[in-house]
Parts: sequence; structure tokens; C-alpha cells
Amino acid sequence: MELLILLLSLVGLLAIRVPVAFALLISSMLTFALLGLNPLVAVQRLSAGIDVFTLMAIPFFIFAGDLMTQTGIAARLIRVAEGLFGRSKGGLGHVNVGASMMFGAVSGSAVASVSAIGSTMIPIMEEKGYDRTFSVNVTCSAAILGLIIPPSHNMIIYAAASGISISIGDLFVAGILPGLLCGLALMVTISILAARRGYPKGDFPGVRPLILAAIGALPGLLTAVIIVVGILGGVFTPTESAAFAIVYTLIIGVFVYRTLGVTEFRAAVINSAKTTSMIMLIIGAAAAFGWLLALLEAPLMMSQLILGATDSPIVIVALVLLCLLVLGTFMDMAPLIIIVTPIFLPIMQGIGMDPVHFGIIMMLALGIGTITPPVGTVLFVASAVGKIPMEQAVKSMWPFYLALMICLFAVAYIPQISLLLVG
Amino acid sequence: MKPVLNGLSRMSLFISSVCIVAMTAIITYQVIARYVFNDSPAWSERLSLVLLAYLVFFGAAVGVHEKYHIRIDALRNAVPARLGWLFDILAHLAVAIAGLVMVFAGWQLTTTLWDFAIPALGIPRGVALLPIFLAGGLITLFSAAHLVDVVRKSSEEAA
Repeated sequence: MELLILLLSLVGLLAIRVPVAFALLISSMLTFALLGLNPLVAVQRLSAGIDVFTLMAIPFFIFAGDLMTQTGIAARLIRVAEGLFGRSKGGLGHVNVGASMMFGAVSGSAVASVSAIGSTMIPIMEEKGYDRTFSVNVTCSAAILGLIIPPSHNMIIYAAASGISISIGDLFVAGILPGLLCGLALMVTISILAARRGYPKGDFPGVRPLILAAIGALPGLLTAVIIVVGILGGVFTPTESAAFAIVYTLIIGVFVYRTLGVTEFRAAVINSAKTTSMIMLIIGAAAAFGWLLALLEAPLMMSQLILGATDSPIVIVALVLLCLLVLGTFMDMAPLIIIVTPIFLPIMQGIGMDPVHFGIIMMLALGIGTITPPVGTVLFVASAVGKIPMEQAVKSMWPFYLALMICLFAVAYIPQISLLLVG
Repeated sequence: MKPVLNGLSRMSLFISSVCIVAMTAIITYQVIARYVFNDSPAWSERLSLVLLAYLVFFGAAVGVHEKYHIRIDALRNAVPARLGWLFDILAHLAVAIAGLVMVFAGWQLTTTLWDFAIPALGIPRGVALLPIFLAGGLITLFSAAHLVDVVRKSSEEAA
């Protein structure tokens, strides 16, 4: 009964456009009161949900990504991608995917990727005769690669939510091959669509410009290498690696690229303060909500429901994937990670799945949720950047959804894709 | 009233911004101290975590004022204007109430934990919970102001 009220009040509050963080918090307060507990406990859980050492890496990764965006790295990455992929059929589509993958390695935020890559690529693609809808489709499906290509702050949320010790370094490494696989799948999709619609080939700028572009982008791309190697080598904790990435970005932004001035620094600070508080408040509120779910034995019910329906690991994985995809269409990624990890992770561990592997599955499944309506943050931003209605963007998205779904199932059922590189 | 609210919001954003920069400096110092001075400070992560609370709660208040918190527009935009107006009133009211609960809870937590010290830092644990009380007040204020705006807008339309 209380569980029903908790869930229904959440849905009702979300429906009347109460911000997600507050909807989670208020529905928790209400349920606490109904249970005869002090609603102030909800605030205490909120505070406790934020007061976590591991999560401190999140503001730093967001800040580093914002600073990197302010250096104008996107333009450099696009130049490299042009040199690598521009010549093929539908070249600019491939350039978009390539640039987004590289951007994922310096920022890890899909929303930042959509706005940084999209605002440059969508006008260029339109100029060369690409459909604007197609450009928006490519941009948002490519942007979610940033969620699985390291570094990714969502993986840190997952590690914190798991309640067991999962190495963030392992999670980062495990994301590399699935990220490349998805990039490849998107490029194949683009090639097929480009051949059908007669999209133009681009020009090869020549070896020398390519090398120059690569040298220009290298200091930025090194960020990901420094973070991953630093964590795996035990040089840094994940939090320290993220703080170091900020200092590193400042140094290359000011002295190497010379694009980072006081204005850009201020913009990055303000932007990251806003993004951090928004995400962390949602995480805290989701922690209060998840705490109540656990109190009301929702995880137990869910596992009885799934394990009662079947004992085949293949079907169990499929059911969990389905849940993740459906939930992902309605909710944002960060609160879902906090809420569903304690529910599904024990089930998956019960059938012998590695928690690192499940983390990657979750990133990809919920990542797809960010580009599906009715709630798809990345899709919204991409439509806004491309100046087309969201409905129009969705209509022609199906080849990209299909490609990403195939990758999701491959990643889910072939653990080696995630775990091969993990020591 | 508007300039006062904008001022409070700007001040909160300033607090939030200072915190994120200070946290970066502290954790960077921690790395340098470990490798250069061969000494890992015990206070750095604790202090950084206290600043995180200020960063998050003051930033959250700014988000209420500037309306940048993630919310779901789909249904609100699909319903008729009058029903949407009602939705807006209820939504702002709900956030204002949440803000009020934060004020009470924040005050209670702050005062209860004032006598306990944060390990390695020596300052009262209440210091880390004070931002809930302060930002709760701001959230109530900002949301109440939006509420007044919505109600007034409609009465003007009706007139």
C-alpha cells in the first residue's frame, strides 16, 4: 500500500512538472509520514545520499568537461575526425560519430557532447545537403557513446549505488570496447542510409593537415588516458584523477591552446556549479527514495517476481534489459542508477554476472533511454540545437535505435566485450 | 521584490561557484602533498565533502529561481491552458512545501549535530548540515515568488 502511494505520488508530481529531484523528495516525505515516521528523515537521507566520498568525483568530472568544452576542443576533434572518416560515403555522419566518441573521452557528458558537437556539425551537415533530421539523429545517438567511453561520471554513481566495492578503474576500462562497438554500429547504419539517400562523400584534407589536426587534438585526448592510467596504476583515486584533469585542462587551455581566458573560466565554473547541484540533488533525493523502496521490500518483491517467472539466465537478463529500457524512457539516468542498482544488481550477481559487466549494460540501456521520448534529455538538447521538434527527430530515429539495441544485446550476452580488457 | 530575489540567487550561485573551485584546489593540494611532501593530509577530503554540501544546496536553490532543474514537460504542454495553470500552481506549491520541510529538518539536524565534531577537521558536524536550512529557506522563497507570479498572471489575463 505504502509502496503504491510512494510510486503514484512520484508519477503525479512528475506529471504536473515538479522538478525530478523535488518529486522524488516530496513523494518520499509523504510516504515517511504515512508510515508514521518523521518526514524529516527524508531530508536526512537526502543529505546522507550526497555525503559520500566516491560521489565527490562527479563535480570534478563535470568541471573538467566544461573547461575542456570552453577550450574549443570540439572543433579540433571534428578536424581529426574529418581527416579520418570524411572521405567515405556519408562522410560527415561518420565525422560526427568519430568526433562524439573522442569528445566522450575528454568529457563523458552526453549533454555536453550534443551541444558541443551538434552546434558545429549540424549546420555543416545541412550545408552539404544532409537532412537536418538525419543530422540530429546522428548527433544524439553518437553522443550517448560518451556515457560508456571513459571517463563517465554515471559509472561513479553506479559504483556508489552498488553498495559493494566495484573498481571505478575497471568500469572505465570495461566501457572502451562496448563504446567502440556502438560507434562502429552507428557508422554502418550511416553508410547504409547514406548510400540509399545519396549523401555526398567528403574531401580528404591530405595527410599533412590530418597529422597537424591530430597533434592539435592530442593534448585534449590525453585527458582520458591520464585519468584511466592514473586510476589503474594506483597513482590517483578517481576523485583525485578528476581534480587533476581540471588542473591539466587549465594548463593546456591557457598555455597550449591559449583559448581559455577569464571569461571562459567563469563560464565553466558557473555552468559546472549549476550542473553539479542539479545532478547531486537528484542523486540525494533518489537515495532517499531508494532507501524507502528498500524499507518497503521492493527489491525483494522484484527479485521474487523475476525469479518466480523463470530460472533461465538468458530470460532473466532479457527481463532486466526490458525493465531498464522501459524505465529509461520515463526517467532520467542518474536517479534511475541510484534506485534500480540495489534492485537488479543482486539478481544479476545471483545468475553469476560480473558487477562490472552489469554496470556497462546499465549505462548502455539507460543511455538509450536518454534519446527516447517522453523523457530523453539528450534527445531534447539535440532537437533544440538542431531547431527541429522532438517528434520529427524521433520519427526517423529507428535505424539508430535498432543499431544501438543490437549492440546492447551483444554487450549483455557476450561478457567478453566488456571484460576482455579488464585485468 | 524581483531585484532582491535576483540578488539572493546571484549570491547563492557565487557561494556554489566558490565551493567547486575551492574543492578542486583542496584535492589538488592533497595529491601534491602526497607525492611532493610525502604527507597525506587527513582533513582535505573531509573539508571538500563539507564544501560539496554548500555547493549542492545553494546551487539547487539557484535552480529553483532560474528553473533549470530537470522536469518533465510532456504532459504539462499537452493539457489545456487552464489545467496547465493549475498544474503550475500545484508544482510551485509542492516545491515550496519541500523547501519548508528542508528548513525544519535542516535546523533540527544542524542543532542536533552541532555538538559532534567532524573527524580530522574539528569543526561541528552541524556546519555541513546548515546549508540545508539556509537553502531550504531560499527554495521556499523562490518557489513562493513563482507561485505569486503564476497566480497574478492569470488574474491579469482574466481582467
